[in-house]
Amino acid sequence: MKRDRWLKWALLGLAIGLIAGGAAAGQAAATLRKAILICLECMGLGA
Amino acid sequence: MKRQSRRTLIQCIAAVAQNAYIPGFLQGVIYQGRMKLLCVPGLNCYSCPGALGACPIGSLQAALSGRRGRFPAYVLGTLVLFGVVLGRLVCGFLCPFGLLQDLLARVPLPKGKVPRWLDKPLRYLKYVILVLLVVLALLLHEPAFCKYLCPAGLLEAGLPLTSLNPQFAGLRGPLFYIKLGVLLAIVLLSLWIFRPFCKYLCPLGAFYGLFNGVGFYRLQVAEDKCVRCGKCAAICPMDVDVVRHPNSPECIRCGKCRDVCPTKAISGGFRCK
Repeated sequence: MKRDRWLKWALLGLAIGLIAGGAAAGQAAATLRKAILICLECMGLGA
Repeated sequence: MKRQSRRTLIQCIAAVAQNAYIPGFLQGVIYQGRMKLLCVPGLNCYSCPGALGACPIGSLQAALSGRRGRFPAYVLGTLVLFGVVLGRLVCGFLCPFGLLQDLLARVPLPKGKVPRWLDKPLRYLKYVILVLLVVLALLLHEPAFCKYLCPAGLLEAGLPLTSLNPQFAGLRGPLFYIKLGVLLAIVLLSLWIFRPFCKYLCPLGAFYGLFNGVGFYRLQVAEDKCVRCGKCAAICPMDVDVVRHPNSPECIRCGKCRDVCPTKAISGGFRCK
């Protein structure tokens, strides 16, 4: 139980750190670039 | 309002809110605004004409399959955030594909269960798919899960866009029909078995399930109130033994066990301690 208590806070901190680090490295913009293109693979098209 | 009606209402609102770009459906195009910087929690294809956010699984594969070999910190961080705060509450309340399967389960047809000897090993399949998704994205530099398996991509993006936009209709090839077969199989199975895609195939559910035991949202069974009647385990559509494993990775937090408990021994909520 004690382990769970700090683990979830540690994971929350890790998640926020990863998001902030990724965003600072321009990865959010990369996600946006992918998400605004129509993904033909997702639709099963073009093959 | 009863808990299950409230859950269905939340599921409907979540599905509509994640796909609220109406011009997309009218013109056969997709939303290209800045809200797509953000990943949505559930399996919701970013090529759906109405999608306002990015699919986390699609984004993860896109980030991993890039040839520059960068660690996908932003998407992984988002996935861990949803996982640790909500866990599989996302599956039960926020995933549009989960809602579809819930609605199909309500069709009054004979219901069944996969035999236990087959059900148990099949539950691990979603973890295999999660690992394969990562490995194939790194090796083949393509979103293999989206391309070959994801039924949400075809349902939410492929079918509407090929119907609405003639530019895409001509691109239908063998892969489109293979994916159509996968989608139809899941739809038909969902009429018979509760949420077969979530139980056996969904890599997103597999990932969130890892956090059920350590995240902020938890179920608790009060030992002093529980009378071991077994009603919770009997009603659980995901076949979880709630008393023994209230935070099983399979639990989608639907709350049916809480509704049926005669002594109200099961409680759920966000716990900071």
